[in-house]
Amino acid sequence: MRNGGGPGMREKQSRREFCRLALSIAGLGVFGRLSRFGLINAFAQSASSNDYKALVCLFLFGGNDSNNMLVPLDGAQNGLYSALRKNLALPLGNLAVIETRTQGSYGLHAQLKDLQPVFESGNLAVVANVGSLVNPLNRQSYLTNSMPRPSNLFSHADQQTQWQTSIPSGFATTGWAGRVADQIRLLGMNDRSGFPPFISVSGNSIMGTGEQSRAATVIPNGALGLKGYDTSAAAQARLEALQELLTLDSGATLIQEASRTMRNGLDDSAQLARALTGAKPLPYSFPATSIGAQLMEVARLIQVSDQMGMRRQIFFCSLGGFDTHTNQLADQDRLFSQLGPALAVFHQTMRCCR
Amino acid sequence: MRPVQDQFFFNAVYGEDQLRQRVLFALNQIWVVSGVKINQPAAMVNYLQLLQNDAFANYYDVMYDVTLSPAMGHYLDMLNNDKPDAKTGKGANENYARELLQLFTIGLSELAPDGTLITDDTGNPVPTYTQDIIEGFSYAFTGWTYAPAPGAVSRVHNPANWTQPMVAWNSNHDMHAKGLLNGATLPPNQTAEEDLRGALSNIFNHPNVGPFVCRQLIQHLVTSDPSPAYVKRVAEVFSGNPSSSSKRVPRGRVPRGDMKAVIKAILLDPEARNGDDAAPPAGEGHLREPVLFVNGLLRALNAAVTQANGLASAGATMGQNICFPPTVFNFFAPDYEISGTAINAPEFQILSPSSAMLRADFVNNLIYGKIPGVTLDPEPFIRLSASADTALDPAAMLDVLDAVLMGGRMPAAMRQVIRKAVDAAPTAQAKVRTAIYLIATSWQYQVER
Repeated sequence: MRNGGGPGMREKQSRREFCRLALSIAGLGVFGRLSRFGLINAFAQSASSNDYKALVCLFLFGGNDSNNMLVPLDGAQNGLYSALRKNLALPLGNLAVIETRTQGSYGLHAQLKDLQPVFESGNLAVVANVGSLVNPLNRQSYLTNSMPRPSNLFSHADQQTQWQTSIPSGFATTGWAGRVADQIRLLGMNDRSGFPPFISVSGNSIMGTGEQSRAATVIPNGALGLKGYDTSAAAQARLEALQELLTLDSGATLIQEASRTMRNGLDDSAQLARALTGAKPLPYSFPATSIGAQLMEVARLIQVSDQMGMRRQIFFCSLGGFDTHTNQLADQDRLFSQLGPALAVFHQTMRCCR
Repeated sequence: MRPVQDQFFFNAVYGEDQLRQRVLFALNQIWVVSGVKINQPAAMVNYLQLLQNDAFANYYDVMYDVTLSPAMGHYLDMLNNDKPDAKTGKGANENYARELLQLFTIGLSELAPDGTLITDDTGNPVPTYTQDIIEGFSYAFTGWTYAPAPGAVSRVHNPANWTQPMVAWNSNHDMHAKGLLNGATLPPNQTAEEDLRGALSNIFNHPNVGPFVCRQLIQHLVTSDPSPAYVKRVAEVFSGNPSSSSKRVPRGRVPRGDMKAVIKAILLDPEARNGDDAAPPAGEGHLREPVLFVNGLLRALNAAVTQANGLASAGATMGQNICFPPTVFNFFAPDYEISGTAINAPEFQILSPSSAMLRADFVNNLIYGKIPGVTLDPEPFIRLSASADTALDPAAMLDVLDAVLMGGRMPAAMRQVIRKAVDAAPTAQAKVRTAIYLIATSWQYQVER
């Protein structure tokens, strides 16, 4: 959180505080110690009828090389960049230049050029130098191993889990967004809905597991409800039997857990199907990529948040493949070429319709 | 890659070597390569054949053959891993060295012989290796390239060859000494081949390999959360030094890493045989992952599958696109715990509320013949359940399906619920379809116990 709101932050105070809060949770560890979480309480109290906030998280699996996402362009900083990056330094001429108010010029990766106008209109902020730590650590204390470090620092899997749990060592059973979801429920912020505040459009993620909260999952462009049922008596009898089988006490842990998961799926999809019935089509078309489809699904769900009775939601999307051990420049270029346009359309959709 | 995927399912459904196919699939999910990066069908075929051939060999053979396979070489960058260059500061590529240790052989932390974590005085796990050791192995693995084309002269970097093991180019191999596990060192000036064998032997003989690998094999083949005692019994067989209490494997007759002995020990263990006579303990079993779910159903129901088929996309829809795991960490992690619980159940990592429902949709597609290249004929079940001159007997039909799908252990309450829906179905065909659908979509079926 060294850079706080980051360069160019010109948003309304409330949204900025919410984003900052959510990101702080990633940095600060065990949730119970977070007195600043009172901020969300304040949101609840000041809520007006159209008060809605969503946090859409996009996880770049494998570890994005963010040094080539945003490149410093000012003299000394840029010199350091070129010297340290050597053959991984991007050609400066291709970058999409953004001017911050207090932190100088930066260049967005060329494939993220669609985000340049978003930044210029004051709707994009960068929060740099955030990560998972046990406690503050500098180069010296790292090298001398004089301070506790996050466990398994060189293992992707462990680091990805730490980013999602904000628990940098030991074994985590909850994610930070799940713990936020616990509070959202506790504070009654989605008072008209028992629907999970955390929705993943990218499968299971520990990030959305709380002490009490579970994640809902939605398949982008997927059907809601089970296939193969018409209104005949035979089909209804079959559906009833399927549902009844899910409630039997099998005496076997895994059967009970899988049944619970399926019951959640049936409940969630029934609620979503009701809310999405008659929803207007989205005004802009999203790129035909995985991340495009995910963000489109998030946009659809945000569009019907009122019908769902949701005022605070957290969404989880992901794009994988960032663990480029070779061919880094080309691979990251290809991945960003999916990311940039999808984010830009998502932003456009939110500006227009939410 | 599609024909490779189709053939995988075709072999799994029709292969007479069912155990070999299962072990191949288990090894394929430990020694992960992915079409996400290797978009070369020939490389994937070569790789799967290699695992198939080594399924009943020695674990060292698996280590050696995979290490030199062009598929793995390309996937984790040991291929054309050039020796370090002091002038540019370029080091060796650490990718393969790291995953070989972390995922394929010993894991991150020191293990007791029963697979539980060893902890230090402060209660923390003890790392198995340091960054220096990773560098030692990454240097040991320099100098390998594709095999030369037939008749061609080998060079430092040969053109792509996906069907033969990699070959060494010794002047591209780092000649310094290399530090390995447990304080061992590879002496300087060895050839690439000598360093490779030395490095692999060093890993193979680490005490973690038995418990680390055997626990995962047990998870894939039998049960998600085996007891430490079970892991220990199998790991002892892996070590080639079975305890005197083992009646199945005579002492001292089995070399370390013998896969046949290990698989036998896994499948014949008393814990694996729980449930032969009575209901197994509550925690036992594993969720059939999508690929096993598909294959198990097709085999039990005697479905006809053509060589080109739509099974790969059916699996992908349910979260397991064969040959395309998202990363080297496979579709799910061995230590995954079910969300919000402390239950170790790897396959649940890809069971979400949504994908649970997609499994039911798969069964629906199957019974209504909507999966390309797959035919499921209800007629045999109708015939089996009816005497020559009478109509289908629902009770007899449920007996047949109970036998083929549930090992004759369908709980009475489950049977009663299904019977009600069967009775509501209008025709013999609809009754059979209803029964298959309800059994196959039930978690009593989908959790293998």
